[in-house]
Amino acid sequence: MQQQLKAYLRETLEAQGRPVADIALDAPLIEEGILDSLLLLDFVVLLERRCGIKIPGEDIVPEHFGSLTAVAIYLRERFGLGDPR
Amino acid sequence: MMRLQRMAQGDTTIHITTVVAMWEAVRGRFQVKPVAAKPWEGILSAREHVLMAISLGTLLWSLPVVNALILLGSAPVIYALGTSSWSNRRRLAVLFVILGAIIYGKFGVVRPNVGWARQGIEAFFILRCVDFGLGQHADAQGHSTADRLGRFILWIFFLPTLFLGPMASYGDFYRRYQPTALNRRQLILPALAKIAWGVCKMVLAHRVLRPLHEEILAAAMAGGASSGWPSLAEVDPRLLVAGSLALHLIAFYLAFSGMIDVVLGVSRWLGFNLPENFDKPLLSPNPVSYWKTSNISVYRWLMIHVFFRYWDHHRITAKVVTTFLISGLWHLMLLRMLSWDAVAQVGLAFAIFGASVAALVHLSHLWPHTRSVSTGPHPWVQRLCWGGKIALTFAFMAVIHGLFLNGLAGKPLGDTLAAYHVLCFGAQ
Repeated sequence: MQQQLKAYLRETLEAQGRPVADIALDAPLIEEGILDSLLLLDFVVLLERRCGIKIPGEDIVPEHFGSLTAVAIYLRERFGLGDPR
Repeated sequence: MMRLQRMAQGDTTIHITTVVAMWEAVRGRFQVKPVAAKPWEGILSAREHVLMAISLGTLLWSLPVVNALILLGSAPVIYALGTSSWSNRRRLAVLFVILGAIIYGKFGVVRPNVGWARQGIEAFFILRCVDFGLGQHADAQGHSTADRLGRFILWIFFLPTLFLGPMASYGDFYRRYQPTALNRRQLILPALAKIAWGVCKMVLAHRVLRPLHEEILAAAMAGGASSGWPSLAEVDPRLLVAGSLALHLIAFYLAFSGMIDVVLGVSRWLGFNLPENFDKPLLSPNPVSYWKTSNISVYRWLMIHVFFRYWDHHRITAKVVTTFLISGLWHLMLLRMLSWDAVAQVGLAFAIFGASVAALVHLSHLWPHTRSVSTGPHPWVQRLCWGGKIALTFAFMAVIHGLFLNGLAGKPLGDTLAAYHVLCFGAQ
């Protein structure tokens, strides 16, 4: 799941002209500036489209989207998607 | 006799058991809670209590009694709301009542002696109210009620951020608190340097740039005539207005960021490692970037509580417009008093800024970036384009800030429009 998320994130960044070499699973996405709020929204839209889910607005907080591991845990607990290991 | 003795023994055993049970209950009720994962998370120390008392005292000193009482009275309701299991809809209903009371206190109560810095108290208090009121704090483990209440009061009335922010969310505020790692000797120099840098910026803004801006603007409006600068008479009034607008924006940025630097220096020395609030906004290549890098804490609040929360995630333009609408309404809380001129200028500034951001965001989604760096023009051309974008954005933001700052200062709309007329068409 985390590798899939990494691919989605890379796709999001490349679509906005910000290609990245590699993203660590525990890298703080927001604090390190990998994602800003508008890119985060693009990432959420991509996740919704690919995973067939609907992420509520109040769930988009740093605790859930702070790193790829956090996203994987959130998706597993909220939607029962994938295995974060 | 033996039976009586046994009964007596039994009774005594029962009594002892009861007393022990009662003692356990009492001890359990009043004993110190087990220390959580981080040592400071257990109980507020004397240091935090002193901070809390100073903050509350400053609040009472800063505002007229009615306004201070409204804020003090709102705090327990907000605490109850944030720790309740109510739905968001019910929480919002209560929050609207509280916001109504705060707005009434702000504009309905005459307060001639409140300085400009204190105008922001209610505005930033509102941000903290919404942040805690809509948060999920009911399941906080490992803290006593008194401790949680104390932490809430310390955060919502924290002195360094009381007047003009930055707005730290409750979670961030304590996540970034590191008193155990605090080495005062090591921290004091960076903190003092930050404070001194902030003071220098404020002095430069208030003593040099702002008077200069007013002098140049006055000269431009008088056709170049200036008491202090006779040579200005030979300069094109359009250039003078452009220069005064640029100085106004720079002065505003230096004054605001300087004050925030002082707040950050003091907070960091106290152990609250609050993040930076500006990231070189005057060097932004477009209005979207300016939006993201200026007053970052309020931008972050708007993202969490407005932008992500409302509308379908595909409707990004609607999200941006709503965010700017709320942001514009919130900035009205910084006004000394409500007047048509002030509301019109602040509203116009946010309408133009919001429309430009919404258009740019919409366009970036219509035509996503696909060009690689290697196929782009020569690096020098790219740098030149980059510089041009920065200059254009600066000019655009200077015009918008002219409206916004004149609105905040209570200047007539006609004066601002007259200056913009000179900017476009030369001397009147």
